[in-house]
Amino acid sequence: MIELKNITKTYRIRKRSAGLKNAFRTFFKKDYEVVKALDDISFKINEGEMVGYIGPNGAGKSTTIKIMAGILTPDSGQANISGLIPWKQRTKYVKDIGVVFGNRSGLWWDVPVDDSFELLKHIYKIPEDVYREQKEKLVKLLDIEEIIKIPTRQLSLGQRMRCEIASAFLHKPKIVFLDEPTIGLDAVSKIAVREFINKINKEDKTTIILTTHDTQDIEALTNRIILIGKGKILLDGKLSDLKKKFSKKYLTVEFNGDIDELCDGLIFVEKHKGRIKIELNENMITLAKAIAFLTSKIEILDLEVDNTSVDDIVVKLYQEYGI
Amino acid sequence: MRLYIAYFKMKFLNEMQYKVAALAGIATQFAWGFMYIMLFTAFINNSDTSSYSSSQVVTYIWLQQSFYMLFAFWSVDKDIFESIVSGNLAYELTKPIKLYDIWFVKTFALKVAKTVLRAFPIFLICTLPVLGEFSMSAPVSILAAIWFVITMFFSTIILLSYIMIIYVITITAISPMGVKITFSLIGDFFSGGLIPIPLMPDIVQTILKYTPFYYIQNIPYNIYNGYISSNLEIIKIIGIQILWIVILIMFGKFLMKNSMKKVVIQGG
Repeated sequence: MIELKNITKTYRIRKRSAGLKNAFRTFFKKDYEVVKALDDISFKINEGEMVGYIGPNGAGKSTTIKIMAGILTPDSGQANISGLIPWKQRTKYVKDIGVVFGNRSGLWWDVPVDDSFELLKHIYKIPEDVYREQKEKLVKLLDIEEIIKIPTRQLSLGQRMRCEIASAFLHKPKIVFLDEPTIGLDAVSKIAVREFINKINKEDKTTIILTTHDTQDIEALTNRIILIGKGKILLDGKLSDLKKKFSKKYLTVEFNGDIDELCDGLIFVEKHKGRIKIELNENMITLAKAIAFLTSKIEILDLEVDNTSVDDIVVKLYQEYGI
Repeated sequence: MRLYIAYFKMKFLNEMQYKVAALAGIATQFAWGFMYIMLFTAFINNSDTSSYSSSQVVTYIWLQQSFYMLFAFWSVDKDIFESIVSGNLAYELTKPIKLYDIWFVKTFALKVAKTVLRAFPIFLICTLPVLGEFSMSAPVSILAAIWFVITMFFSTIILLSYIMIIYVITITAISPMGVKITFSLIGDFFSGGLIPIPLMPDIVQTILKYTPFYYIQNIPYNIYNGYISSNLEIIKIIGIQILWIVILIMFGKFLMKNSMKKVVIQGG
């Protein structure tokens, strides 16, 4: 179980304006700006949960992950993850966690991936039979049987990422932090990675915390999302609830005839001759009734129904919270 | 312990891939070796006050060229610097390992691998009698050979614990270059990497005896060539070597602990 309480972290950022004069000035006086990366962050995550941690760039997602992974020490606040304080009992704590940073590599560059795995076996002191079994499973799920014989430097990003992910699961961690695991991957690799994460979460009850900008990741993987912006937690809830709150249906209709008035629950968005776009409020009218209403007024030639994508929801969320 | 052996093996195998670099290194070592030998022998042969004989200097230089990569202060694990600068260090921090110990083993493996590739060919060639007065002589006695091996080991450990301090300081700096160049320049010069310590002025020699630099390459080479020959003195020297190892490792670990609290993984 993960519990964070009132975590605060500030960074000192060195600032100077461009130009030679200003560069020389830093010899005598350095200007710092204190930036609050995390401001009073608290949340709880239960065992076996899969949580999407989202927010715009610079919101504090990676900082939170780094604190939870034991790399950074916060300025204040408490954390209790499976009974330990990550940054204080680091070596003991990290035995049971796995971390993937999408923009970094944890594999040895010049040797085949399998050698890196072998080293991890020693690092985590995994018994030989457990190691072999788990490796076989991961290799199969991520389809990297042949890839792990190749040195890391010669792998494509998608191949390397799948190996990085496998390496984070070798020691059967209870908690895994994935910091943008699908960044820069093609559609096929993304789907492979998502399927894998889903499966391992269900089968091994691994708690997974995932940061991402990819809304499809969120949709495919997580039930619960935590939204962070400017270092504060803005929202913590179910994705389905959010969808209900923000989601809207649009009907685009091509037709013969005339229509000027709509019934309750329908609003014109666009109106042209022979083509209209209507917003449908699902709390007031069902799709079937709306279509029935339209059919009674005009001769429909073509009809298209659009749902708000998770992308739009995220954009709306960002707008609503002004981040 | 098995973990450290695994790390050693990994780094060693990794380093053994760079064979062409080793070949180029051997050629360079010969060029420098001859240059130094001609310089120093000309210098010694024309003075009558030196207690360092020209055959001793020849042996010193060849040993130095053979084990150059082992005791070169600039030859450090650049992967460690890279991981610090790029932030890949984050990965190592999320593993249940002691960073200090792992870096130590990695650097040790790297240096041994580089030395193995270079030392033997140089060692073989420079003992050829064809070279005449420029050829390296055998150890002055069997005992000297044994002392040589023992002190080589301790010298290596002193150097590694010194290099560890460079790494640790780098963690809190933005670029490793300044720290590295300063530390390796000081180290190279005062450990006798450019001029053998016995050829330095007496006062400098006396001062150096109170620094760790005196106890690195200077000791085993000068035991091998017979410049340091009293067993009692050698035992005393080994004691001081161990003392420096303890001091440097304790200091490095202390610094490491401190900088880990302040560490900021930049970017992303």
